[in-house]
Amino acid sequence: MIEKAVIDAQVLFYFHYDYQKIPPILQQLKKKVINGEITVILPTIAIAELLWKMRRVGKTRVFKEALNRWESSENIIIDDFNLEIIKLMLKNAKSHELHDEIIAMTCKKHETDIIYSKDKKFKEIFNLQLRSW
Amino acid sequence: MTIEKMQMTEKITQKVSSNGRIVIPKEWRDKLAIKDKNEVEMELKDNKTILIKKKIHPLEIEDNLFEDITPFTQEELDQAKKSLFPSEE
Repeated sequence: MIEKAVIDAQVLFYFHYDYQKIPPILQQLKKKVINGEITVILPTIAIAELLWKMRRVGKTRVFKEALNRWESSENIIIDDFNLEIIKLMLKNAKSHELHDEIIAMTCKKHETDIIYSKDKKFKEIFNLQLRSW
Repeated sequence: MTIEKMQMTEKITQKVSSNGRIVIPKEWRDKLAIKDKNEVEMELKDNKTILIKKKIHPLEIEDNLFEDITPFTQEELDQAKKSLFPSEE
C-alpha cells in the first residue's frame, strides 16, 4: 500500500523552490512524490495560505502554474474542506484553533497520521506523526 | 540489438514479440532514467510513427517556479492563519 501524508503550506511552497536549498527531509519527500512512492494530500486551506503569500509578493501567475501542476499530478490529492471534516471535528472533545484542526482532521479523513509540517501542535494536540525539519 | 547513431537520432531495429512487446534498450533507459515500474507515454502519429516518452511528473519540471520568493517566515504563517480566521486569538 502506498504511503499517504498531508502537507502544509510551507511544504507546498518548497515543492517549487530551489531543490538544493530545501530541507533534506523535503528533498526526500519530493523525490518520493515524483517516483510515485507516496500520495500527498493538500488541504485547500493550505493552498489558500500559499495564495495569500503569493498575492502579497505579486506572484499570482506562478501560483496558477503551480496549481495546474498539482491538479495534473496523479498522486497529489487536493482535499476540499467539507462536511466530512466538520463531522470529524465534532468528535474532538475540546475546541482547537480551527486552522490546525481542519488540517489535522484532513489526515483523519484520509486515514493517515503522517503530516509534513514544522508545527509541533500537530503532534502535541492531535497525536499525529510529525515529519519536521 | 545494435544501436545505430546518426547525430542526435539513434535508431534500432527489433522484432516485435507475438503479443506486441518490444524492449527499450538499456542504454536508452539509462539515459532517460527509466526505472522499473516507471511509466512511459506512447503516441501514434499519422498512423505511421509510434513515439515513446518517459512520463514526467509535474513536480519534476525543474524551473524553480518560486525561486525568487523567500520561504514563509513564522510571522507570515501567523498572518495567513489570521487572514483565514480573523476572530481567533
